[in-house]
Amino acid sequence: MSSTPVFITGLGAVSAAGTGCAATLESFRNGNGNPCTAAREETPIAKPVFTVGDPAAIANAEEMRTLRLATLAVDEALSDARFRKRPSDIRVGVCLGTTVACQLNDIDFYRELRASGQASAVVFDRYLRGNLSAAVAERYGFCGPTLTITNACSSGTDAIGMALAWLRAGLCEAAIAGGADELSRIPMAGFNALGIMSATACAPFDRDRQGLNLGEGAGILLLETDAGVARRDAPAVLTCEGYGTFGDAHHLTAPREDGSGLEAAIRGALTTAGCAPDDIGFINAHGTATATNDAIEGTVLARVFGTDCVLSATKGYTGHTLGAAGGLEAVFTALGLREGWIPASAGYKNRDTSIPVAPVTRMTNVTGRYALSTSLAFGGNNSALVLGRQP
Amino acid sequence: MKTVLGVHGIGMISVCGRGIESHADAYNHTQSADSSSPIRVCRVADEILKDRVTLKKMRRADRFSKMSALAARDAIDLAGLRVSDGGIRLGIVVATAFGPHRATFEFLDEILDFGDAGVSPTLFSHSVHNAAAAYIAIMLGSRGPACTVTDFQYPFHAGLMTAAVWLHEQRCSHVLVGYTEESSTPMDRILAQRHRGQPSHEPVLFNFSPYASKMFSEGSVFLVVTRPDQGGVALDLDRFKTGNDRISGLGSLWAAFKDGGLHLPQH
Repeated sequence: MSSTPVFITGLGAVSAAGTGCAATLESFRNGNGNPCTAAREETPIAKPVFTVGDPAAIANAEEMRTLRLATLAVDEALSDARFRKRPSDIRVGVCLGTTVACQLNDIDFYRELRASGQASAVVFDRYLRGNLSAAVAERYGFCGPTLTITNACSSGTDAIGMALAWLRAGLCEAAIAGGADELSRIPMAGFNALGIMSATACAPFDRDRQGLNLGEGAGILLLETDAGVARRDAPAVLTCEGYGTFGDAHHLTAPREDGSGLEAAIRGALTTAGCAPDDIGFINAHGTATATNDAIEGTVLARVFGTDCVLSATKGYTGHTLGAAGGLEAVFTALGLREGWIPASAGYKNRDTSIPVAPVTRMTNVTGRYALSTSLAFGGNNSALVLGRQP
Repeated sequence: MKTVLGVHGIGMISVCGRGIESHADAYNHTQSADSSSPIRVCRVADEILKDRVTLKKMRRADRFSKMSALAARDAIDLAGLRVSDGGIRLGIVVATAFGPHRATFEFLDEILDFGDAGVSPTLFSHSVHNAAAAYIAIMLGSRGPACTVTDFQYPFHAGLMTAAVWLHEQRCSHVLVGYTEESSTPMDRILAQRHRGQPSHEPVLFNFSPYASKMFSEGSVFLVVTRPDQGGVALDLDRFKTGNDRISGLGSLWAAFKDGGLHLPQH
C-alpha cells in the first residue's frame, strides 16, 4: 500500500460546542456541555438535544440545513488552510458522510403528499440538490471525485478514510472530508423508540449514564498530499495517517458483544498508519453514553491500549451528531494534537467499575505523535482513524 | 490507479425476474404495471422476495434489503466465492440514489398516525440507508468493510469506484458491489408529478430517476469484482458510464461473461 503522506491543512467545526474551531476550543476550556431542553422542531419527545447556537449563520430556507452546516465548516477549513475557492490547478475531491440528508423525510412535505397526492416541488428539489458531496463540489467548483457515504454513525469517519485512499491512489491532490447532519424529528422518534435516549444530559462512560442525546453539526478536514502542500506553502503540522474499518456481521443495531469488530478496525488503522498502540498519545472515543456502546468500547480500548490510556469523550459537548460525529471528532482529535491538550469529558462524574478505562475529567495535556478516533455504527460498522502531528 | 475491474459474478433482481438471464429478455416482454400505483410502475414480483432459504434471517427486513440480499447472494454464488475461506477479504458496497424510502415513508406514516412516541424501532432501523449492507454482511458472515453510497446521477458508478479504490489499496481481495432502487407509492407520485407530460411505456431497469423520462421500475444488481490481474471479465469504469437510469449495459456484460469477451456500450 502506498504510504504517500497526507496532511491536514484545514479544520472546520460547527456544533453545539461552537461555530468554528476557536469557539469550540473555548467551550472545551470551560468544560461544560450545554444541551437544550427542547428540540428545534416541535416534538412530544422532550429529551435534551444539542443544537447549533448560531441560527443566523445557518438560516437558509433554500437549501437543506445539513448542507448549510457543512458549508460553514468547509468555509472554515478552506480559510484555515488559506485555500483559494476555485483552484484551477488542483484537483479537489469531496467525500462527506451524512444520514439525515440522504432521506426524504420532511414530515410536512409528506403530510401534504399523503393528504392530497400532490408533493411540493420545492422540497423535493431541495432534497435533490442536497446530496452533500455533490452540492459542496458544485458550490466551490471542485472537479475531483465526489462521494456521499451513508454508513449511519460512522459515516464521517468512513468518508475521511475514503478521502485518504483517494489521495494515496492519486485520484486527487486535495480532498474535503468529514461529515454533517442536522437535528431532525425523525431520528429523534427513532432513537426514542429504540430506548437509548437519555432524559438528562448525556454522560459518556459514566456509571449512571442513561443514553445518548442527539445533536447536529459538521466536522471537516481539508486533506492534501505533500505535492499540494509544497505548491501552496500550506500549513502542514497535522497528518492523516491511517484508517481501519471492520464489520460485526451480527445485528442491525447492536454491536457485537466481544468487540472484535472494533478491535480489528483499530488494529487496521494502526497498521495502515505504521504505528503501534504505544505510539497513540490519546483517543477520542465514540462514547455515545449508551450502556452497551461504552461498555464494549471501553473494554476494547483497554485490550488494545491498556487501562491507563488517555481517553477523551466529547459527546457531552455536542450530543451524538450521527453522520457528523466522525467528522467532528476527527477535528477534535486534530485540535488535541495541535493544541497539546484535550478537554474534560463533559457529563462524566462517576467511574463505572465494569469498564476498564475512564475518560479524563479535566483539561489534560497530551503528548505523543499520534492520536486515534473511533466510530461505531448501526449495521455493525466499526471504523477508526489515526491522525498525527509532525515531529 | 487502475479503473479496470475483473468481474467474477453477477446477480440481479428486476421486474423481469431473478437472475441476469431474465434481464436479457427484458425488452422482448411487456411488463405489467402495478395497478395500485398512480402511474405506470413496474415492480419486482413479490413472489421473488419470498426465498425463505436465502432470506431466512431477514423475515422482517424491508423490500430494499431483500432485493439487495438476493442479488448479492446470486452474485456470490455465481462467482463461486466462499466468504469463509481464509484468503477472502470481502468488501461490500451498496449504491443507491434514494435508498429504502419505502421504510422511510412507512415510518413517517407511523409518526403521523400514532405520534412520535408511538413508532416502531424496527421500522426506524430499516429506514437507515445502510441496513441492506448490514443484512448482506450478516447473511454472508462477512466481517470486511461495508459502505453505502448515495448519488442522484451516477450511483452505481460511485459504488464501482469505491470498490476500485478498496481493491487498489488492498483493503479487500474481492468486493461485492451493487446498486439498488425500490419503488413506493409516495415516490411514484412524486416522480410522476415531476415527469408529467413525458409518457413512455418502455420499461427500463432501475429507471427510478429524477432525471429520466421513461417508466419507473425497481430492482438490484450486484457484481463480485477483483483487481483485473485476478481474472474475471474486464470492466473498464472509464467506459462503463452508468447513470441511475442507464445500466442496461449489464446485458452486454452478462453476454461477455458467458462468451469470455466484453463489448460494453457507450452511453
